[in-house]
Amino acid sequence: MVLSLSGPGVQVEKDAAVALKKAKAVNDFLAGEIQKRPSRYGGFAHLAMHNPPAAADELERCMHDLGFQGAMINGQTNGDYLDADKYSVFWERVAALDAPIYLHPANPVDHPAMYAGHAELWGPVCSWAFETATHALRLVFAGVFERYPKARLVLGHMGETLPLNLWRFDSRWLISHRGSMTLPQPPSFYIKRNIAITTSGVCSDISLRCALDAMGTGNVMFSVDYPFEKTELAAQFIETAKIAESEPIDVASNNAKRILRLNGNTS
Amino acid sequence: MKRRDFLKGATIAAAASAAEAFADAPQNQAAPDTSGTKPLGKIALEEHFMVPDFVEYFAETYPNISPAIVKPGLEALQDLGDRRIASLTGTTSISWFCLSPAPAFRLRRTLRLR
Repeated sequence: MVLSLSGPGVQVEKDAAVALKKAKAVNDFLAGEIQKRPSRYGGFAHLAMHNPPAAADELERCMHDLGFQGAMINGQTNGDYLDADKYSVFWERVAALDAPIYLHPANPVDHPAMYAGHAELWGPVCSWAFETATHALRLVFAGVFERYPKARLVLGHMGETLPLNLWRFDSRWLISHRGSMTLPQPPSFYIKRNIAITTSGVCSDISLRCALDAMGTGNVMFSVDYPFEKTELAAQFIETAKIAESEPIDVASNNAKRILRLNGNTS
Repeated sequence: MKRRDFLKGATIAAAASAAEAFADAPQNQAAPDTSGTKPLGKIALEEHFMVPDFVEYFAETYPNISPAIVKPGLEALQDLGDRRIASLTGTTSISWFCLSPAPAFRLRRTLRLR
């Protein structure tokens, strides 16, 4: 299993220098834990996104020196989303390193009126999915994946609703109030080429079928979302999922081996 | 019944169900029968942990989750040893992917951390 610090971590730290120092420390800690159980654990880097060049350097250190598989970023940082111009240097390094960036939900800096009086919607039931899906779409429409074709984003929770809406993104994009914004390809092209998704926290045959059909069998990977989802339930879900005979092994391990460039075997 | 009264009545039941739904609680959702199926090697990619220094940041998510799962959640998140491994291998007939870092990486990591 690939471990990641539970968010939001240092992304909500106000002092950028402290954030960077603590991110490095927790990455070193994780590397030590992986070393204790190298046959079980891998790691995603925790990054202080306040300073994009420093975040890129830490990502490279974690990939090259600590052997991590990529990084996990928890939503916005001080109101900045990853399509901001200042993150170009970060995406350039991501593409050069071929490092998957797992975009995990977190809260926005504001609290939209829509959620007032409904605390149950503020978080994993609703707001996190739309916050994260919108964040991913910002990357698509800002042309991040057009500029960095090798950049790879990973979304959890069966794709945070994106797979269900690919056709509509392509259709409505054409009549949206987009000003001079252009993309050579339709939005779904970039979503399918540059984004992979995981099954974390979603154990539904219907959702999985939709994800496989919309994103392609090679873009869907297994996850549990431990400890917020039951490992046994997630494991049995993928064991018995009502999908084509060749698909479970791709979702369970083959796609992750390819996308995370893992060596090893299943035993 | 007014909305406020309805919500008051549901509070206790909701807290109990949140605790039961948490990962380490006894299974309360029907899991499919896997008897007779071939175990499938798996790689899991969104598996969280926590360290004491970062609990203050994690507290930012308390408004997003039931108070009933904060304490058990933090306990589970901070265990990177036997309890977590047991959750992987426990009662299901599953096997797990063995990461085999390239030799060069393994050497580099040893030099860095020890």
